[in-house]
Amino acid sequence: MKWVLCGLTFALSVVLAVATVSIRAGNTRLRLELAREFRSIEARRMEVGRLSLQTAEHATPERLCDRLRELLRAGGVVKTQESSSWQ
Amino acid sequence: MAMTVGERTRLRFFFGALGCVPLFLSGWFGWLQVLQAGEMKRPEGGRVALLAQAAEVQHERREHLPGARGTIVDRHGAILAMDCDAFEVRAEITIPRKHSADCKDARAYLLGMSRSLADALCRDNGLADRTAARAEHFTRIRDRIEAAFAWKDFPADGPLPAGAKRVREILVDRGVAVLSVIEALEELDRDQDGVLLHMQHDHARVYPEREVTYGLVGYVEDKPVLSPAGKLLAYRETALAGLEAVPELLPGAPGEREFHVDSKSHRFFTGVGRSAASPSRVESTIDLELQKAASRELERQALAVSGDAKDRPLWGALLMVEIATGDVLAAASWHRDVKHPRGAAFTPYQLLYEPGSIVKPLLFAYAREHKELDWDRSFDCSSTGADHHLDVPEVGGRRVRDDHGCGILTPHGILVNSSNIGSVKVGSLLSRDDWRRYLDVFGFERTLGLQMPAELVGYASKKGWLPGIKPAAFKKWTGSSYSIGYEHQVNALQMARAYLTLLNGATRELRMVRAVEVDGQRRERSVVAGSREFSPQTIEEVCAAMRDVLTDAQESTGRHVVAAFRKEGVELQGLLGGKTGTAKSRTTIKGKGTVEVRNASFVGFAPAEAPRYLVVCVLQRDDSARFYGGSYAAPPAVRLLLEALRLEERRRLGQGPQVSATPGSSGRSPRVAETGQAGR
Repeated sequence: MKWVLCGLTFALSVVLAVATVSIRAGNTRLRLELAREFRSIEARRMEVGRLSLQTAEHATPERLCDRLRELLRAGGVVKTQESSSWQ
Repeated sequence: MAMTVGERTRLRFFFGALGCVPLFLSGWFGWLQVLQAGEMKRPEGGRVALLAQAAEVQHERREHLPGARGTIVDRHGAILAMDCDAFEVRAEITIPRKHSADCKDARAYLLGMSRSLADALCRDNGLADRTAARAEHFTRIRDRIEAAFAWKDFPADGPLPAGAKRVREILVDRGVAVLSVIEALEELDRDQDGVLLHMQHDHARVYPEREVTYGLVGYVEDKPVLSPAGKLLAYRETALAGLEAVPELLPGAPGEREFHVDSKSHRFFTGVGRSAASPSRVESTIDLELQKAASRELERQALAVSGDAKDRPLWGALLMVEIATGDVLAAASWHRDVKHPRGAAFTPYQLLYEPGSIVKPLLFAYAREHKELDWDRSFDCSSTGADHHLDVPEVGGRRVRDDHGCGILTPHGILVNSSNIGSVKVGSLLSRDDWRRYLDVFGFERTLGLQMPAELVGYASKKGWLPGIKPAAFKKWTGSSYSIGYEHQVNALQMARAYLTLLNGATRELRMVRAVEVDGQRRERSVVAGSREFSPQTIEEVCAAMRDVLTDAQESTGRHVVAAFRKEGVELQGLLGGKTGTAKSRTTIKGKGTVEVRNASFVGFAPAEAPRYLVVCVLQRDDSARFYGGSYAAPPAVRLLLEALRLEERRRLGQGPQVSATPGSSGRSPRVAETGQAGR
């Protein structure tokens, strides 16, 4: 009987060790994912900053005016009426 | 339940083997802590303490978060320069074992790695020429890998030489901020063996209105910091021009972020860490809309001088100052022979010229105030000969020439006619000490004090001030030259400061920074005003003469510009005041030696009755042909003054700036914002 108890205790300790390792591995995996998510948010925040500056630069009165002139020079048709009923 | 002998033996063996594990661990622990005395030698040569703390440090890393350089804004809050978040990408490249057996194979692997990294960097949809960009990135990365692995020392075939490094770190790129590029790099990091990418936080300097603010806002570069022995210690960011030199723009305290790494050096998230100090903010005095107008008008005028590029002015400067505060609202620079503004002198304060007749109102105001010049006194400015000359008896008979015959004139008339003879006669009232004080009051030999790098400070010719020069000789040569704006050099901003002093009646300094905000605290830069020098009556008399310069009267030197604007439907008479100047001078040009140049200049103010804006324009042409201030320097200056009045009115009505109706005159090239990494 005592050998059976010893065997069960050993099996329990192995199971506990394996469970601990697997929980820790799961934790690590989540932290890695979280880190990846965090980095991707950072990259997107960076992109937003860059694009907002770029947009502001492209939308200055001078550039919009130049674009309009280009369009007119290219013979583009400028609609003077509303293009759809809901506008 | 009885066990057989065999079963008992197997169990004993099994538990005996299990019992060996703690024995082995105890032995290992004893070896480390007792025999190795708690330290272990590492392959790189250092020793590591065998403590729990050291074990923690083994997988802990700290990331440095550099502080951002300050933001520069114009007087209405438009951004002129700012730091944007970006990544500095470094790659730790390891030649895998399967490729390290043969040099040819290793080289092919490294070439492939260069190509993959270049491809990832070109995943930017905004790239105009992707093929050229890829080629550029590939060449740069390949060269760095080649240098890092000492690839040239590899034999053509066979195994890698002994001592050849299999792991090396290289810089891939700086200022990486495009999302698609970052994602491509992360994909490469995840999928490709043998490369580990480190994305370190960095900043990229962005200048949204670069084309019109290059010399004014300036730029920064990383300069190497060397030890006394000449060893490279670090790189320090240094402002080489413009407002970037304001000391408060330096980055604040850096932040720090901790993270853990796994056995493959991948990062674990441990929190957001401590952020870097928020960037400071410098509120400049520049009005971006006026700056655009100044750049546009100066360029338009310079190009209009001649259709042939080589006959155009050598350089030009156009600037505007607010009279009440001394704020520099706009300062534009133009060069004929410069391919890129970086490295070119910023003409408003980095180039000197002989001012010519635009100093006459300053001289007359000084003589009126300090030498009791009678404003109703008549001066005989009659001349003889085709060149309208006179040997002026008041200055020992020095021959002085006028542009046209003048006759009897009051000081007012001398200014309107811009008579050199009359000016020399008025200048003869000043002694040598008076001339010294005149130079001091108007600050012609004093720095602008704007903390701008590489300022060229004006100076008066040293020859006239030698101790042996007698007063009569000084008056004949130096004094009479000063009277008509010769024998001393100024920069355009110094000339603006001199007029600022005159129009305010007290010595004044220019201002380019209104306020600085550091750590949330805003500090105003005060307006610098000195001692009172001119009475309101003197100012009014001189201004009245300058108003009459811009009339259609036959004798006024500004009649051409008045007539030209009248054709465009703009009546300048009574709207503006000004003074024209034309000086013939000599200068040294690289590759050409000393050549004769003409300086056409104009100083003006608006509105005529209660001046609020002051403008100075100078164009220098390396040609002996006639090049008058009234015909060439006045038009862009007048247009800028009119634009300032128009903009002021539109702002008062709550309207935005108006774009020029003339095609191609927006003063802007269709490029996108410059993103400068500033070598970081």
